[in-house]
Amino acid sequence: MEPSLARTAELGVGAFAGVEAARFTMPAFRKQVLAEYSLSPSLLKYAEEQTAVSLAAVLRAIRNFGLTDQAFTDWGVVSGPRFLGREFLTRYLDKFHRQGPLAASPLITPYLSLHAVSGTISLALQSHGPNLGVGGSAGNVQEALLAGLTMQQEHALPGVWVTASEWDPEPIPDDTGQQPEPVCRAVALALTPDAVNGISLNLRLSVNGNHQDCPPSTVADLAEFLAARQGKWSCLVGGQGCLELTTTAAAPSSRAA
Amino acid sequence: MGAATPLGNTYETVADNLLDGRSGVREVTWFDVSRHPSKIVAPIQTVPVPSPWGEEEFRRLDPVVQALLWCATQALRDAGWWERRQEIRLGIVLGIGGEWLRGWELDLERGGKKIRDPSADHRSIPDFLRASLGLTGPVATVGAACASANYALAQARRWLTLGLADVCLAGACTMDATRVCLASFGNLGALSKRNHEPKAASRPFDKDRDGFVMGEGGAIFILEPAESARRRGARAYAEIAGFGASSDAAHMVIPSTDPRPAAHAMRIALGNAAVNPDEIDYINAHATSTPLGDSAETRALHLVLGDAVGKVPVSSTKSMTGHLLSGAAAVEALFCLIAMERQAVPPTINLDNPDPECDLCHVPHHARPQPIRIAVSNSFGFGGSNTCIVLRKVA
Repeated sequence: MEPSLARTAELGVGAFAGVEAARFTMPAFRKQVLAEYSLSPSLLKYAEEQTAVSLAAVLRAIRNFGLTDQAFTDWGVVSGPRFLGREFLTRYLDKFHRQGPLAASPLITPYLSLHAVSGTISLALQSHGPNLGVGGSAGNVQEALLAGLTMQQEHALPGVWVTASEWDPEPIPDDTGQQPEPVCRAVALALTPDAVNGISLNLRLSVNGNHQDCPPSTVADLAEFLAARQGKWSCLVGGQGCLELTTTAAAPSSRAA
Repeated sequence: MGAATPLGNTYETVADNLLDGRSGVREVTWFDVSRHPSKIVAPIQTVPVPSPWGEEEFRRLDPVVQALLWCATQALRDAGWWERRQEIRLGIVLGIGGEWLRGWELDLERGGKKIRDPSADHRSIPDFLRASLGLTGPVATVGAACASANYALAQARRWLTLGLADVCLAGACTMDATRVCLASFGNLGALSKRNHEPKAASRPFDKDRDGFVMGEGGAIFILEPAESARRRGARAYAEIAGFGASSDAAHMVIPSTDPRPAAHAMRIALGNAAVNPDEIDYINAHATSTPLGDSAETRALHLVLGDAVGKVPVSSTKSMTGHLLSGAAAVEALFCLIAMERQAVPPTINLDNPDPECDLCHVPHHARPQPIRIAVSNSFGFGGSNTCIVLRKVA
């Protein structure tokens, strides 16, 4: 095992995007994403909403940053959903308790477990690098960014797509209209070994113990920073570590998230 | 290390049962399976209550948390860090693919309503463990289905390199053989229906295999930089010498018919460890006992091993433990450590008629004594994940 000497690690951000869709628009949203990017209809047939929105964020980042001709064959994918599958599972459990084991959906583990988002993105992009789900609850944003950075360093990949997703507010199954209409939101970032010309956005992990405690970040926070790209965005990752997204110059307006 | 497996909850018990070729599979009697396609599971035995928890307090915890706390406290004590665990930045990386799905199902069974109340879900299992053990390092949950634990070990190793933690608890545990999950995998057509012969049901590489058997349990390891372990005079079971991962990008559920992505993961791991195929002393195969998966892995092993395929011993310990899903790679890494310590290759039990499409150097029925310095463990999963870890015996 290598000695623990490094105290900082830094990657460039080669593309990014944020996407959101209201719950009542999701069926149309799925169709639109598949049609807009000429994807097979089977790709999202069983996918949970956070999977669909996360994939859409990656595809939008690719389009916005002019990467449509680039192959992502050797890239990795890291996805951090938050409470994936609550609504689907509520319905399935009700059905199971009414109708018994033969009614149990075979789709639960493949499409609602932590790997489901990254696996679908890897399939859509035909990426043969590693794909990994992380987080799953509060803390999904920092876990996804940290795992993306870790994956790039571990495998020396040409790039890693990192997504984080959440519902805001999280849908309450069987809600009778007492909460605001939930929005499913995702951000996608392309982490690359080097800084990227014209974007000037970097992700840095520093370990020095001088960081103040703060609550877990949300996808909304990160999306807001990416849209404005002013100053820096940071979150703690434990172990006296802090992740920072810093920008040194405004990106061209045509490349807005 | 610490373990809770279908073959026992302590290193010595697990090692004895593993090398004796005992099966942990049995009929499910703790819930009604009369309408389930598959009625057999390899469960863990009730884990002991670790000090300083009291019996009543400990048994109130979710069973998977009980198993993980048992594994973690065992591992910390085994490594000599228990008393000093709060003096260092001790991180936790756990492979858990369906933490919330399983938690919601069990809560609902007990009359709870967490699944319908998002405000009731706060702390992840690794967060709970950190607080319960009084640790201060970073925590993470990683999920790559049945390959999760290999990713956990790799991420923890990288955290040490990045200086994010001084020491890491890394591993995985699964207790997914629930009413719903057993039915769900059964309806997927993935499970063995050899319900009348539980101990013969998991038969990787055998011509008559008909699906996997769900297993439960896991293992946790203490990962520490080699130099630090040497300075402390700690016993090191092995070095994580290499890790490789890839994706099929072919299908979310079905293993790819193209062996190259899985072979690529193995080659990366061997390259990372600077190990040639003919230097491998033992391969713990992913082989789950499904018709498609076992032959696909065989083709990948042929690609990677080349001429060495006829002499590198391969076994699938899932023949004894069933398939532990997210926990599989952790328990199989432990089995590799046992193979190194006991200098014996664990067997593939129930391998009565090897499938000609699975032509490997099998170790059927009985353990094979031989020197083992380099062990390789494959783990593949839904989402097209392929992982491989290389473990090297520490002199």
